[in-house]
Amino acid sequence: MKRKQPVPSEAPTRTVEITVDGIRRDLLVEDRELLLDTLRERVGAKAPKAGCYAGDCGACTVELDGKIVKSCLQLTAAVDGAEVTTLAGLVDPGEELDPIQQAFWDNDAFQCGFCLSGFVFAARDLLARNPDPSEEEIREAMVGNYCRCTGYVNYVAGVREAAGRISPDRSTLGPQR
Amino acid sequence: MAPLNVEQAGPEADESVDLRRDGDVLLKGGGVYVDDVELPGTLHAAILRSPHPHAKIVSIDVAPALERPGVRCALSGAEALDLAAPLPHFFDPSIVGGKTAEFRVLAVDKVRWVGEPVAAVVAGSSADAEAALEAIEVVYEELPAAIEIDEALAEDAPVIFEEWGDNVLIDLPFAEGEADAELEKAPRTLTGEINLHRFQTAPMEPRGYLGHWQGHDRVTLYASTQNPHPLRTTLAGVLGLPETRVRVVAPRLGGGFGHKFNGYAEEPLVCILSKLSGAPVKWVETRADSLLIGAREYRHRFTIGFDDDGQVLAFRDRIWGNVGCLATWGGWSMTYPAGMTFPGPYRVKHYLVESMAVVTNKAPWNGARGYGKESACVALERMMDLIAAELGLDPAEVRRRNFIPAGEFPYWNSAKHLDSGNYEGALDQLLEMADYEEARERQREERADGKLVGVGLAFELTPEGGDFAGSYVRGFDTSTVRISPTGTATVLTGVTSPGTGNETSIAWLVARELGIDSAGVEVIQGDTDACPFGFGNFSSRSLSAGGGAAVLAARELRERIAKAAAVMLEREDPKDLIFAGGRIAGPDGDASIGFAEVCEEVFRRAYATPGIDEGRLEATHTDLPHNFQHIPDELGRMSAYPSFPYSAHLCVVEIDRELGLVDVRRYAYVDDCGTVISPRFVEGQVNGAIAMGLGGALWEQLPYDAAGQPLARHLKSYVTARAGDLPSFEAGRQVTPSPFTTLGTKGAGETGVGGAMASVTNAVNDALAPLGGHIHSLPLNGPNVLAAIAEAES
Amino acid sequence: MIRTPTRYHRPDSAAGVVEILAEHGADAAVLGGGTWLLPMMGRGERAHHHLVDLRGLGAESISRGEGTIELAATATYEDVLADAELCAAQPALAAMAAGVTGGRQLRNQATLVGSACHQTPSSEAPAMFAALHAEFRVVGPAGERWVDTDSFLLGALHTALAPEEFVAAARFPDTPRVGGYVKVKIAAGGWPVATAIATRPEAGGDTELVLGAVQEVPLRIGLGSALAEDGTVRAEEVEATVAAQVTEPWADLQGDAEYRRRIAGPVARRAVERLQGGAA
Repeated sequence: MKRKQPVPSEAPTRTVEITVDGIRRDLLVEDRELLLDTLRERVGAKAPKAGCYAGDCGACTVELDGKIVKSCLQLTAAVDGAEVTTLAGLVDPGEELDPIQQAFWDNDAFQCGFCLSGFVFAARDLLARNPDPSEEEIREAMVGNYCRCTGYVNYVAGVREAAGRISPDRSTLGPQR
Repeated sequence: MAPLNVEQAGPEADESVDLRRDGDVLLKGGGVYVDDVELPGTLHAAILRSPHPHAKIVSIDVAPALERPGVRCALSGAEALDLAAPLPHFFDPSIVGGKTAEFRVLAVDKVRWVGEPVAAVVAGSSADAEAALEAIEVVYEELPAAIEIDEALAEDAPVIFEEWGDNVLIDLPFAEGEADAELEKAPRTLTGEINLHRFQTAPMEPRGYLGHWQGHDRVTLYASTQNPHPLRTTLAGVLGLPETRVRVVAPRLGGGFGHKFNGYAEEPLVCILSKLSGAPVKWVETRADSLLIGAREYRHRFTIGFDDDGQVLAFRDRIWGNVGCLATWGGWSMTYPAGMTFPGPYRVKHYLVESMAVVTNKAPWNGARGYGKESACVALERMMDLIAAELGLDPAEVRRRNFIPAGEFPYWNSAKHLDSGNYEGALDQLLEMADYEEARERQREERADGKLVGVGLAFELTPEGGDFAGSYVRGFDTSTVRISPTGTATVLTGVTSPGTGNETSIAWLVARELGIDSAGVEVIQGDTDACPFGFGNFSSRSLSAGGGAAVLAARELRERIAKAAAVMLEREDPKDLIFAGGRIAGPDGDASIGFAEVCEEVFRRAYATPGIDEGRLEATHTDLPHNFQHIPDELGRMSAYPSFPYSAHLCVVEIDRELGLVDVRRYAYVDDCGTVISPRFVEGQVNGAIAMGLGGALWEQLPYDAAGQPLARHLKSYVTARAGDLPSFEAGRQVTPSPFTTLGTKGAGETGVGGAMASVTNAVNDALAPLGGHIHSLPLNGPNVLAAIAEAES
Repeated sequence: MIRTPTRYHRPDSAAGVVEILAEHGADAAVLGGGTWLLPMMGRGERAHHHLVDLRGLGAESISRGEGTIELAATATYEDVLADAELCAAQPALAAMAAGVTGGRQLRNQATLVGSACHQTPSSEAPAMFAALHAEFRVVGPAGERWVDTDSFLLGALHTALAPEEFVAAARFPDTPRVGGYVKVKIAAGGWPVATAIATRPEAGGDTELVLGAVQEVPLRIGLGSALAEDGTVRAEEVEATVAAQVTEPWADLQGDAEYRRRIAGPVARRAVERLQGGAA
């Protein structure tokens, strides 16, 4: 059964201003809305994915004011004025991929691609702090993310190679494979 | 089934293959999965699910939901009876002699599992739709439930489908020779029981659908499905529409693994809801919904008869699968390969395997990578290790003594015509690559220090390409290649990709046949309006069947283009022209002409220039492995699987004696899936399969409490392998092509799940051996292993 | 997504927080990092029409007072890790913060005080607060009070907070304590099945041992005769001492009661060994 005119929603709303991938957006959002859903539904930024809505899988990872976070654990209302970077905002359109992205591609680090946002940001975060990570450190840096296709083997190789490309003088092992 | 007389199409040793297609798009976040598809005005559905494992629906009133904010419509099962015909089965058990039942889009009189869809609500946002569910009033009358196998088979068990009389869906025998008689005579026998638990594939992308009912009788469904064409056919029937008015689009898939085989109620349901509400309707499952689906829960009770040399003379294995409730999803059918895969790679002439699918009030199974073959692998590989332990032989040697020798292929055993293989070669290669001797030496030293270190071997035979005539699970597929006047090629194929990269390989193969750059080849999959009817992806057959068909189509076009090129080059014989580097040249290397130039000429001059006789550069072919036996041969033998890749695995574990935690220190494997088109993609598949097998064997589980409630509702309680849990895998390769497929491929995608489960189970048991302990019930998590240690020490 | 039509509040004063909590009682919830609360609301396990964000209070994440260190309710695990002095003074705390499940993202978002207020037995922060001898500044309509950890953590999902109260901060003595921290999970993605924190003041004194995730609330182990004269622990006696005191082991999907009972002793012993530099 149906009704022509739905009962109006009474969910409280507010306007917020969020900069997403360099573009400032003025948005009307519900107070209960998660940043993940704001990005995907209102801004059209589809790069972060919804895998669990519980902060377990990491597919929703974005950079928020310079820190990586799981956007499904973040109320948009709480981050008015914030700057968000998604996978789409790491390089300008038409530009080459950055070293981590390219190394992931060269090493066949991903398959279906659904988890990619989490892994790219985790790798960026790691290499910014630790330019020459060991395999153990790389694996440790990825534990917040979950991949079901790859068994992680090529992600690790990809990060090693990216490290070698970004900091060739500091990397002890250099590119693998 | 004679071997093919066709030029096989794999890459030469010095040829490289492409990077994964659209990798740059994915890396920039541009991949479009079903939840990324946007249609204006989309509404959102939520589904009310049964809170009881077994109950009558006494009454249901959805009207109150309409009073909730944002709600446009609400639907009960009774109302849906007029809107949707019964759902066809993905694979109806009655096709193979099993029992069956009818299912509707929403439960009407009864619910049979916690989570079964009972009603649906559509609202402007998912949040509002979810919130409105609690307004729906359902009165249930609870019925006794049967959750575990023993409960379902007990004398006084509640019968889940009353008309059946019991809870046995099907009992499938696979036998050769005289197992009972030979077991009687065997010098030695061993009995055992193995319990595999319920777990699932948990793809990253949850399943979802966006249904758009347009106008009077036209519907488009965007679906995270592995099988868009069969889904279209199903929808047409359920919705009462001509199939020409139904379109299914399968966008990029975030992992399939069988979880996204079609047959789900939500597929037609969102279409009906769209019709009712006059807008597109989207539904995406929550992770809790996703975790309802089950697989892999088997019990084996086996007896093996063998001699003092470790040769297996006969065996019996009685298998029960707790398939959960029956549904129109095809998961119950995994009990078929669970039995059929025996005796694996081993040459045993007397065996009786009986595989019973038992229905219970757990949520139904859907397909899960491995498809029952992993279960057979664990059982067989435990048997081999038990024999080795009994006789004091090296487990590798026991396997060698029992392998089907390389010279005996093709080889018949019950329900399988094995294509080709060199099992001993693969095992030997693994042992050398992984330095098995050294691993055992190291184990001796560490054992002397009191460490619980285990080395486990496993050999997995993985039948692929399954074809079940009478269903839409078929072994053939179709591809069209279409070449434009500017010399670019489009492949439209009935196979789809769950993210494995087959589109990249198909493009590469077609480009290679035509001698052009693969950048000039597009592959279109997943759209039923564009692609020829096909069966999608499952059983690792996409590249074999769809890629094979594309190659055959490309070859036909090459012949046609060669004729035109011969005319343009003023040459006699088109057959000796060479297509390479975007040009077509004579073998003597002198005159050549651009590929694109010839294509253009075909369209501009066909029927006007003598010799250019066809104005069409489009060809469609169907391909399949030529190794099926659908009708019993003179000896009564049948084979529904044509291709038999295999792999050998070695796993080294250390068990923390005080905590029972298993650390996988090393993992090595050798894989043979026949001809390999993209070594990297194949390796990626095996890596993922191993991670899935290890995670499943060690940590993942889907437990139910005694009241029939599923307990693992999120990924903190369904614990899969993370990067920190696993080592990197050492990979080796052997190539024994299939003589029966166009590409020589056998299929890569599932091998590794069983091998990993079996090798880690063997490794853990090997580690416990000095204590006199063993563990035959999975998962091998800390609590279970510690309990086994405690029992051994007491 | 969250189905309750909740209202987000971001008061700029403690009084403002209290006013909202007092008005709405259990229909209001305090938002720390949100890493517990938001997923539960998304699954419909909890419903609150008012969420009160403490970030509006503008509290400094970590501040130092008279011989104390104060963690604001909004202090994250990364805030702790970024404070080198704190990490050097409390290595067990640093170890815990570095390894919290969920990766760097979680460490950037989740709060220690929030974890204590949620009080899931398998969390790590509650036991760490116990080991640090922390007190919680509970603010309510009647004013402020300090509540020590043992009086604050009452049971599974149960603290001493009344619906109209909130925790503004936790503080603990700024006494450097050498520490050994051990955490057991069944796999990297799971939650702790047992944690053990062995600490001793750097300047000397008795070793203390706290177990987390083993029982409903953190368990302080009375070391009794296992304590040597010099304040160190006789590692070989730890297991028996602990076994006698684990009387109500917790059970969940990560591990049953029997498992926790069995491993509590060895985990505790390893924490002691890590502290004292033995085999771990």
